[in-house]
Amino acid sequence: MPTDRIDNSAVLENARLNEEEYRERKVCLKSYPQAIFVQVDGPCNHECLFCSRPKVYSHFDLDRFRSRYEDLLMPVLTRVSRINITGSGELLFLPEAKRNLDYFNRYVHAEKMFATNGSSLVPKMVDHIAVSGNRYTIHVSLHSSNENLHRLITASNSYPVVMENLKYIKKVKREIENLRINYIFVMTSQNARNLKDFIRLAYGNGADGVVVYYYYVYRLDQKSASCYFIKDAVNDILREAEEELDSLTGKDGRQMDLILPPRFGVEYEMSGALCKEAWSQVMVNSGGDIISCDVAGDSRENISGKSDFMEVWNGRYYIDLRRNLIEGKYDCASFCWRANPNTVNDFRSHVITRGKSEEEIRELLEVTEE
Amino acid sequence: MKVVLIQCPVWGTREPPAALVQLSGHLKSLGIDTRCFDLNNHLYRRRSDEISTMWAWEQSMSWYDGGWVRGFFGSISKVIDEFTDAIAGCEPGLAAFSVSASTYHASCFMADMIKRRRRGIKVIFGGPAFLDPGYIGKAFSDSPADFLAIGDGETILPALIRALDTGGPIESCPGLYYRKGKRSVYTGDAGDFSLLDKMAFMDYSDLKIEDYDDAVHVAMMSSRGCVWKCAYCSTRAFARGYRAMSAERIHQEITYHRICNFDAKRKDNLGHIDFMDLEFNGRMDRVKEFCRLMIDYPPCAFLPQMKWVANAIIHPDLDRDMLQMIKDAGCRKLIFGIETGSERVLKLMKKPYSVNVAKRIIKDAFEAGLEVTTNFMFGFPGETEEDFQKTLDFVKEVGKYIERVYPSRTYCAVEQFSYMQEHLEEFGIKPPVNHHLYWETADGTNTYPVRLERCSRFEELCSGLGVKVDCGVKTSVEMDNWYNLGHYYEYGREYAKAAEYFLKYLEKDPKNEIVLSRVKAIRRQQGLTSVMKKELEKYVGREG
Repeated sequence: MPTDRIDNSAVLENARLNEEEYRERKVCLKSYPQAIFVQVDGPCNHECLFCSRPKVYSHFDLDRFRSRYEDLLMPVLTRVSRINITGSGELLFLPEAKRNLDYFNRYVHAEKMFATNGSSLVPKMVDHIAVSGNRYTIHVSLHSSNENLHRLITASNSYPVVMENLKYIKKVKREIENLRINYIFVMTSQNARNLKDFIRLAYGNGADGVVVYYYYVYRLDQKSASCYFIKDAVNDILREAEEELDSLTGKDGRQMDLILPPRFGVEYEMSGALCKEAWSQVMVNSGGDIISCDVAGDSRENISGKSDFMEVWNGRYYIDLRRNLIEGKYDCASFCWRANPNTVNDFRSHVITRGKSEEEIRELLEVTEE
Repeated sequence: MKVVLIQCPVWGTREPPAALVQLSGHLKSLGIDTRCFDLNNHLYRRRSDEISTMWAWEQSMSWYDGGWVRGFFGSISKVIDEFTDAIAGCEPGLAAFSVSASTYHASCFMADMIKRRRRGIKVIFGGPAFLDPGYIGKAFSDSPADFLAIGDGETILPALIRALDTGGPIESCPGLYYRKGKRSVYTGDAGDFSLLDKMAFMDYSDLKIEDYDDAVHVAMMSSRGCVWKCAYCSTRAFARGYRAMSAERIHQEITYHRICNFDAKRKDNLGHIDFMDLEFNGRMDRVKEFCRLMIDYPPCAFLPQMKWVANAIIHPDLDRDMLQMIKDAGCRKLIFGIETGSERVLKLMKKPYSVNVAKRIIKDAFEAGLEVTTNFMFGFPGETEEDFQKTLDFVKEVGKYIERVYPSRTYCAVEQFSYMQEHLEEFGIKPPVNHHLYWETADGTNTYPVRLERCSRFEELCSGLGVKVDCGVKTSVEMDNWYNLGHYYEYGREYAKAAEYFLKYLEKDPKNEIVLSRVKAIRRQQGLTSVMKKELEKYVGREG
C-alpha cells in the first residue's frame, strides 16, 4: 500500500469510533486501536538500576517484522494516530536504525514516539528525523541533571555525550516544528531530590515537557530504591517541582509541560474511568506477543498464525480484559497507578510481577516499612 | 543454550579477535546467550621471558607443532585448568573454536580439556583452517570436535544452536561436517552471509579493548573479499566475490563504539579505527559516502577527530579531490599493495593498474596530507634483476612521498589456494612446492636466498632515502634474516649453513627457545665441523 497517500480521514474516523466505543464500554470493537506500540529492541550502553531488560534478547529486525506481521498489522498501521517504537535498549544504535525509521515514516499520518537514553540521539539521527517531515515525540530518559548522579543511575559515562546531543537538538528545534522532546525522570530514592534541578535543566534546554514516573521494581535487588518507601519526601519533591516550573515560566514566559505521577495519600476522584489502553492501544513484540501496554500482566495473545488482526483485537485476551475492567474487576489495572492513581498507595502498583513465579512474587511484594 | 566462543594461540594480540567479537555480537543480537574467551591473550599477558617471542609472527611456528603445544600446555597446567574451569563455569552447551593453522593444535587440546570438564557439551571448529580439505578428516581424528563449520559462522551457528536446542535434525543445518559413526557427513553449502548491513555491532563486553596491546582503537572489517584476483593471493578461497557494508552501516558502528567507550577522564577515547578490509575502496561510491558522513557527522564531535587507517587498492578514481576528502574525513594513512615497480611483473601478478597511476596516487595522497605505506614483494616468479631494478627506481622516484614501506618478510610465498599455486607451470615454478616459502623457479634463478637478498637491498635503499622500513618483525631485520636462512638451510639439509645462521642468532639472543630447539635438532647431523659442534654445545650442552 502506498502509505504516504493514506487518507487521513480514515485515521480520524477510526479515532472517533474508537472513542465512542470506549465511552459506550463496548467489549467487541469495530474500530482499530488508535496507537500501536511496536517493541523495537536494540543494543544498550547503559545499565540503569531500574532496568527490566533481560540479559539476552533478540534485536529488532525490520525484515523479520515485515515478513511475519506486516500484513496482519497493516489495517492498524494505516489507521493509528501514534506509532510507538520503543523496546529494550537503543533503537538508534541498531545497525539499520535509519532504515527502520524510514519504514515507520512511511505511515506519515501517525505521530512517532520513542524513548532513548539520549546517547544514541546523535546529530545524524536528529537531522534524519527532522527532514522526514514526520511528527516525532522523543522521550529522553535522562533521570538526572548532573554527571555523577547520571553515572550512579545508568552505570555509564555517557552524560557529556548526551548533553552534547541535547544541545544540538535545542538548536535544530528552533528551525523545525515536527519534533517534540520530553525529558524523562524515572524517580527512585537515589535521584528524587534532583528533580528540581532536573526541571531547570530541561527548561533551559528548551524541552517541551518533563515526564516523571515512579520506578517499577522488576527484581528483588531493585526494591529498596522504590519511592514507595519515601512517600512523604516524594510528595514534597513533587510539590517543589511544580513550584520550580511556575517560577521558571513566570520569569521567562515559555511554557513547558510537567507530568507528575500521583501523590501518596491523596484520594483521587475516578468517576468510573477505566484504563483506556485496553481499547486504544496494541503492543506487539518480536515474538508476535500482543499485550495492551508495557506494564500489563501475564495474560497475552499471539498474533502469529492469525488470519486477521481482529481475531486478536476481539480475541479472548482483549475481550476478557475489557469485560473485567467494565465489571470493576480491574485485572492488571487493579494495581496500576497509571490506570488508577489511588493504587499508588499499594506497593503492588510499584512492582511488575509479569513472568514471575509465585515465590518470586511473594518475595517482591513483601514490604517492610520503616 | 549457552554458547562459548574460544580463541586459542597463536593469534594477534593488538586487539580482541575480530571473529569472536563479531560473531558474539551477532549471536547476542539473535537472543543467544554467548560468552567469549581468549586463551591466546590470556597466555600472552602472562608469558615468561623465554617464550616472549612466541607471539611474534615470524617466530610462531612452534604453535604448529602438536607435540610442542601439548608439552607447553602441560608445563602451565594450572593456568590451563583455571581457564578451562572458567569456560565450564558458564555451563555452555556449545563451545565454538575459531581455528586457523596457527591455532589448530591448541584448539584440539582445549576442546579435549573442555569435553572432559563438561559432560555432554558439543564442540564445533570453524575458521580458515577448514578451507584446506586435509584439515577436515584430521580434525575429526585429532580432536573431539562434533562439528566442523565450513563458511560464515553468522550463517551456520544460529541454525545449529536452534537444532541442538530443539532436537532438530543436524542434516538441515547447512555448512557443517558432523560425525556419523566412523564417517563424517557434510550438510551442504551454507552460502555466504551476504547482508553485512544487518550484522550486529562487534561486542566487546567479554573481551575488553583495554586488555589488548592497543587500547585506543577498534579494528573493523567492513567488507569481505576483494574486487581483484591477484595471482599470489589466497583470499579468493576465503571469500567468494566481494561484499561490503554500506557507508551508513560503518558510520553507525564507529559512532556506537566511540560513544560506548567514552570516558571523560581519558584523553584518547577510542580515537582510532583500523579497517581490516583487504581493501577499503573496493567500491569508491561507498568511500565517498563514508567520508561525507565522517565530515558531516564526526562521531562525538566534541572530541578530537577520529582517525582511521585502511588498506587501499590503486583505483583511478583516487584523484586529488577524493584523496583530500579522505584526509578531511579523518584518514591518517592509506596502505597500498604496490608489490613491484615493474609494469611487466604487475601483469604477471594480474594486478589491473599501471605503475604511473600508482605513482600519481602516491604523490597526490602525500600532498593531501595522508601518510602512505606501500607493501612490496620480492622475487615474484618471472621477476628478473632488471624488473627488480624498476622496483628500486620506483622507490627512488616516489620515496619522498612514502611515509614507510612494508617489505614482505616472506618475500614472495606460494600461498595455498592462490592462482599461482594452482598454475605452477604458468609461473615457471619447479614442482612440487613442498614449502610455500622455499620454492624456486625451474631455471634455478629465483630461490629463497635470492628473494631475501633482494629484500635486503630494497631495505637498504629505503633506509638510505630516509623512507621508514617497517617489516612487522618483533625481533630485528638482521636477526630475522639469520633466523629465516637457518630454517631454510635446515629444511634443505644443509646443516652446516643452518648452524652458521642459528649461531649468529644465538649470539644476540642466547635463550631463544625456538632457535635452541633447532640447534638441538641439527647438532648431531652430518656435515657439521667439530668446531661448529662445540660452538653449538655452548648453548645447548653436550647432551642437549
